[in-house]
Amino acid sequence: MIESDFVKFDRKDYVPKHELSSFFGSQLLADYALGNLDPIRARLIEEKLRDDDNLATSLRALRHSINYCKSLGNIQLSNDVFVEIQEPNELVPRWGKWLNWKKWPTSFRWSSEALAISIFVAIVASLIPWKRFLYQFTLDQKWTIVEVKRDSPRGLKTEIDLADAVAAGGQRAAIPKGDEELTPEVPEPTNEPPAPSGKTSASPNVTGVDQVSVKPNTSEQLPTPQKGFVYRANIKLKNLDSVSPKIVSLIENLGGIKAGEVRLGWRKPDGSYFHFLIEEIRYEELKKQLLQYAPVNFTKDEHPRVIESGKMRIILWIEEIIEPTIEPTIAKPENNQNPRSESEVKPEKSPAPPAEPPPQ
Amino acid sequence: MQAAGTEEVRDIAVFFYFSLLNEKLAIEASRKVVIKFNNLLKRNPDLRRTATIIHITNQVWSQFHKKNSEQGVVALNKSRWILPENVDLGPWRQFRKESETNELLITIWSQILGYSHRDIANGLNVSEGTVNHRVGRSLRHLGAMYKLDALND
Repeated sequence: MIESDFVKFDRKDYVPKHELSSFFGSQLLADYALGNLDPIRARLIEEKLRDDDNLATSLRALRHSINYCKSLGNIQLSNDVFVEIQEPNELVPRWGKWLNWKKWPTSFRWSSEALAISIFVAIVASLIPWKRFLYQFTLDQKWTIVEVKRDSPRGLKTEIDLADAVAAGGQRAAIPKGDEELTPEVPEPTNEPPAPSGKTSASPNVTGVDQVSVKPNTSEQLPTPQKGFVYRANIKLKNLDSVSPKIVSLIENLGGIKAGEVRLGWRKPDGSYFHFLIEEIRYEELKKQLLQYAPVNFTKDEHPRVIESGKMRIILWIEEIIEPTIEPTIAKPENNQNPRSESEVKPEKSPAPPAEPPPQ
Repeated sequence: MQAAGTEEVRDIAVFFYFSLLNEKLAIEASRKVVIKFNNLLKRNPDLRRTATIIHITNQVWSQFHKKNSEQGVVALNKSRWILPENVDLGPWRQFRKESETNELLITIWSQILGYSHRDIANGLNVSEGTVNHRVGRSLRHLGAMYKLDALND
C-alpha cells in the first residue's frame, strides 16, 4: 500500500515532493513578508529565495514598503486637529444640511422649483417691451366715426346715430364742423377699401360729413418713433368706370407713382382705390383737378411708414353712386315746398333723396 | 457607552489624511465620522468599534473622494500633521494616484493603522481571504516602487 502524503498528514514532517514555482512564490511572498504563511509554505519560500534572486529582490521591496507604511502610521497630530474634530461647530452641519438642495424634502423641493420658475417667467414677461409690439399692432387699427347730416323734405334732420359708430370701435364722438365746411363724403378707407356702409352708401345726397380718426387710448401713451403721414380723401361719383381711367391718367400725368401692391384705380364692387405717391408741389394741382369731378377734402393722418421728404402718400377712395332702381317718392329738400308731399313722406324709412314736387 | 476615544479619533483622522491628502477635507470627514460613530454607539453600545469605524470611514470616504477630486492637489500643513523624520510622502502620493480604491483603503487600515484583517473583513462585509488578497496585491504594488532601490541595496 502506497502511503499518501495527504493521508498521513503531519505538517511538521511534511515535505512536498515538488519545488515551489516562481509564480506561486511571488504570490505567497506578501504573506511571507507579513508572517501570515504556515511553516511549511514558509519553508518552501525560503528554499525558493535561496535560488531565485529576483524573488529575493521582490521580498526586500515588500519589506521596504511595509516599513514605509509603518513609518507613515507614526504620524503625529497636533492638538488643534483633535480639537477641531472633536468639538465641531454645530451650526455648520445644521445649516449645511439645509443648504444642500438635494437633501430637501421632495415636496418642498418641487414647490420651490415651481416658485423659482414662476418668478423667472414673471421677470422675463415684465422685461419684454410689450408696448412696442402693441404699438405696432394698434397703429394699423383706426376707428372712423362718421356723422352724416341729411336734409329731409320736411326740415327733419336724419343723423346716423353716433352711438353706433362708437359701439363699432370709436372712443369718442366726432366733432362736426360747420355747415359751410360740410362736404359730401363717406368714411374714408384705412389701408384697404372700406366695406359698403348701409346708411351712408345708400343715401346719394349726403350734405354733411365729418370724420375724425380716433385711435385707442393706449397708443397715446406709447413712444412715438419718427412720424410719417398719409393723406386720405373720399369722393362719391357716378359712372365710375368712365371716370376712373381719367383720374388714373391725371395722377400719372402729375408724376404720381403707384404705392402699395395694387394698381391705380383698383376696382372694387363699390368703388375704386387709388394709392399713390406724388410730389408735394403737385398736390395743389391734383386737388384742383379732382375738384372738377367732385368736392374733395384731404385729411392728414399719422402713419408709421415714413415717406421721403418732398413727397406725399395719398389714398383716394372713390365710391360709386348707385342709381336707385325704385323711383323715389320723396321730394328733394331744396325743392320741397309742397305741404301735401310732406305728409306723405316717411323720411325714417326712405334713404332716397326727396323727389320733385308734383306739377301744379 | 463610551464615545470615540483619542486613539480612535486619531485613527480616523490619519485614515482621511492619507486617503484624501487634503487637510481641510480630512478634518471635515473625520468630524462627520466621529459624529456618526458616536450616534451609533448611543444606539448600540455593544458595537464592534474597529469594524464600525472601518464601515463608517468607508462610507464617508466615498462622499469626500468626489469633493477631493474637484479640488485637486492641496498643500499640506506640516506643522499640524507631523511625519517622522526622513519619511517622504512622494511614494505614497504616487501609490495613491496609481492604485485602486480597494487597495488604497485596505493598505491604510491594514498597514498604516494596523487593524486586523478580521476587523477589516467585518467592516467591509467581505471575507478575510479577500482582505488578504487585496493587502498582498497592494503591497506588491507599493513594493514595485522600491524594487529598484532594493536592487541597489
